[in-house]
Amino acid sequence: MIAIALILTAGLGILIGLVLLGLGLVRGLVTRPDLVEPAAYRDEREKARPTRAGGLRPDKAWPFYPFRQAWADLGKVWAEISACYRAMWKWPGDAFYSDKRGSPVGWWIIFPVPVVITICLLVAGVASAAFYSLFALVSLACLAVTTVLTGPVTLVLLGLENGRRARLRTQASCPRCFHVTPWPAYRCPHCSILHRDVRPGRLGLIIRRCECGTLLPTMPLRAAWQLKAACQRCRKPLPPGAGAVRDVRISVFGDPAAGKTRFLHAALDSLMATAERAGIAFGFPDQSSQEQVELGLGRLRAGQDTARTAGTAPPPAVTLRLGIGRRSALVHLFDTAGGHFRDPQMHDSLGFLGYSHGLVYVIDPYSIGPVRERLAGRGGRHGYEAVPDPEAAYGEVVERLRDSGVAARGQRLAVVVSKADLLQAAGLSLPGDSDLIADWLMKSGAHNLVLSARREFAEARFFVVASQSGAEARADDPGAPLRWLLRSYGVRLPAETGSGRHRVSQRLGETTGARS
Amino acid sequence: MRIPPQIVIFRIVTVTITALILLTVGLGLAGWGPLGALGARTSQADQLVHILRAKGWLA
Repeated sequence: MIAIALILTAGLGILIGLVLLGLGLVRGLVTRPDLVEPAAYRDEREKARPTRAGGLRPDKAWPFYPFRQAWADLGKVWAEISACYRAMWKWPGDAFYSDKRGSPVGWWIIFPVPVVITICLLVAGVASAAFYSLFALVSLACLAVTTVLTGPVTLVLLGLENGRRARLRTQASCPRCFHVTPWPAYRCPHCSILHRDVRPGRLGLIIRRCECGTLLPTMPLRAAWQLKAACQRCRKPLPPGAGAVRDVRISVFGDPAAGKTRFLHAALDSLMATAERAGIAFGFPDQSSQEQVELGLGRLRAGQDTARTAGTAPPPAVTLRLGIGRRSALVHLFDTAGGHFRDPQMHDSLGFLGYSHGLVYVIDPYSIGPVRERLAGRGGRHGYEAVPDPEAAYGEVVERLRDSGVAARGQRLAVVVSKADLLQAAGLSLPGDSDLIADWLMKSGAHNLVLSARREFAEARFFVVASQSGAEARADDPGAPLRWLLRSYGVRLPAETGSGRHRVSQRLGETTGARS
Repeated sequence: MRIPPQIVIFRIVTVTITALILLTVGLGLAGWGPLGALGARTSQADQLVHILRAKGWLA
């Protein structure tokens, strides 16, 4: 009889344990879940791994279930089972084992009742723990399977993403604040919050869910075409495709009035003609660039003088797109007022020089002593005395790059002698081949510039250009330096037609020989 | 805040698998289902109780 009673009591305990598990599951997963929301998860991540200065804050998106919510669920279910179990013990505990409900002696007189209830509850506790362990094991097995399946996929996707970024140089550069990051931030189309790191990871493998519930694609390769990109620093919008397509940055620098802005517009004019001839789509992804170039080209084509670049702050870069869609390239051209290099207060705002892949140094030929002397002898243009030394701005920029820790060996330099048309009108003709131009510069007293350019940069080439509209077919094509730099950084452009574009002028070489 | 479907799916899967395992073991102890062999163990325990009762060792 006792044995049967014990078996029945234990059976009841097991049933209660089963009910306890059910209650724990319903309360812990449905009615009172411990939901790890995006903001809480981000705070946890930040606390665990504080964001370094200049680092990216974790995004507010729902974490992938196995990484966080699964553990919260396990903890919550156990907490609910424990709470229910403790509640079940409350009355028997008070009645049989304490004086809270009067003397327990009375209960122990009817001996079997406290014993049966105690045994039943003890068995229920053991059973519920066993059932919970089974649930935990199943959950952990699901997590293991998910991790085994998703882990390698994540690694492969991250590897592909890194490889693509390295191959295409798909950084994101802001044309306004000149900040460059490996990838941009992307804005949620519904709530507009920024997602700063959309690579596959803890917040999702293929897609992630924003705090607002909107599904967003992971990987810049996909996000760049479906979401609006923004600068990681100033949060201003970036062109579509930023972070997914080749990104090339070229800075134009030189002394004031060297013809930098005019060269830039003439080079763009030539590049547009080249692209049109080759059937390559050409466009401006933002209105500011389009307006800036239209204005400059309008003046250039009308034969008017180019406005001087404002000296107050660096102007936004001209951004253009070559090609269409995923195979296109974004090209950023930075034009800096010559005075900026000499203004100590502007020193910090020239950070884009260090981020540039290619540099174009524009030399005013009138700043070269032998040219001045020759033109003065011919009664040409006067008033050259105030023209600065052509090596000065170059020296300042290179020094700045060295001081900033930029490996200039990773950059290419195009040294451009501008105003070839004016020289030609004055009866001077410069050589056309890069090496011959370098020789001519050496003989003309700019030997430090030539030697330093070849030593300090990965590659340096020398060009002579006439910054005029419609010069793309001519020997002094202003687009040549730009095309060389773009091709060097993987932008697809048609091959250069013809070589030895200029005839070598021995006469000028002799006349403008090295300074003694 | 609406719970993402991913979380709901994971929870349903784990609870369902747990319930199925418990059901299978329970039915198995009763001699049914894929774990019906467990029923033999239950029978042995049942026989042991009967024997002990017959011998008077259990009141």
